[in-house]
Amino acid sequence: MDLHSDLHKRRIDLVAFLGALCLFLSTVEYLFPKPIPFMRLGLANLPILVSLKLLPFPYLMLLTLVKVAGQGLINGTLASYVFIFSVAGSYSSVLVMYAVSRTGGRFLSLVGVSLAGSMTSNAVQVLLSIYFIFGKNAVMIAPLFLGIGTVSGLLIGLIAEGFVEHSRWHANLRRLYAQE
Amino acid sequence: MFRLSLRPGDWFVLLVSIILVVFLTLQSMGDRGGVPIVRIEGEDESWVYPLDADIEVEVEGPLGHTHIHIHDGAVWVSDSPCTQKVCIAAGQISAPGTFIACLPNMVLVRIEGRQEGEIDGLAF
Repeated sequence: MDLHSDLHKRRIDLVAFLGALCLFLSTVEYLFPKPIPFMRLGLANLPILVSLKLLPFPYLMLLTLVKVAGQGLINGTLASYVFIFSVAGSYSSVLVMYAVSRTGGRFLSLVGVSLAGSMTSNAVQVLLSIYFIFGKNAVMIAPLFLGIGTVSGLLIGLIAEGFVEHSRWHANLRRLYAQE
Repeated sequence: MFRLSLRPGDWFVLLVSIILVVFLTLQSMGDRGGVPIVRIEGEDESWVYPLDADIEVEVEGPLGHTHIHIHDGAVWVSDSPCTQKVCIAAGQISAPGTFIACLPNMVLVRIEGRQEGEIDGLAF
């Protein structure tokens, strides 16, 4: 990629803006009560979902880094083992979402993409907690964790798809950042 | 509100997710069988009994015989030749993962098996 091109600069700008949006949404998430400690709505995934078809792969990775680091700062988990879970969950889910949205093509909307990403993230975190912290008994929380993942992934996917379909701002971005 | 049209792939992913959750739920509920076992380790021998046995075991150690009872799903040491009698004072144990040790007579009694999914503490 040409680091001096105009397109590169605009993409970096977009990453910065969407990254900031991730941080904002992580904070907004505190509005919602948490009946279960590890339950998370995943609002901060909205900017990533929305940019899956706007930004090329390296920029998505960068955006994910901004999101994860920012969330770590906001939630105060940056220096704890929870951060490793967060990194693993976020990156695995972005990789899956990217792959799924590229291969799914027109047969898949952001609803399915979001759901796949959410399930991946939660499954990876359950597996990590089995191997590194709680041992085999952590299998007990797998159904709960993945059940929550299904609901929140579906919800976030619906919001993202609704936004992408109806936002003029996003339609404009799609024109500006058209790839190839 | 605006209308959203879910596409075939979306339904597929949703279906896979739901099947996965249901499968895991059934698995974690059905897999609770099996009686915990009591493992008794002497100086250089070891015995295994089911926790629901009703038996008295004598284990020979360097000081003499340690008497171990298994009764009503609980295990305790009733008599031991050691001086401190810590093993007798330990009382009854019944949960997997717990143990009674008599160090002077080199006897270790341990309950092994599936924990009942109890989590001591969680912090997030």
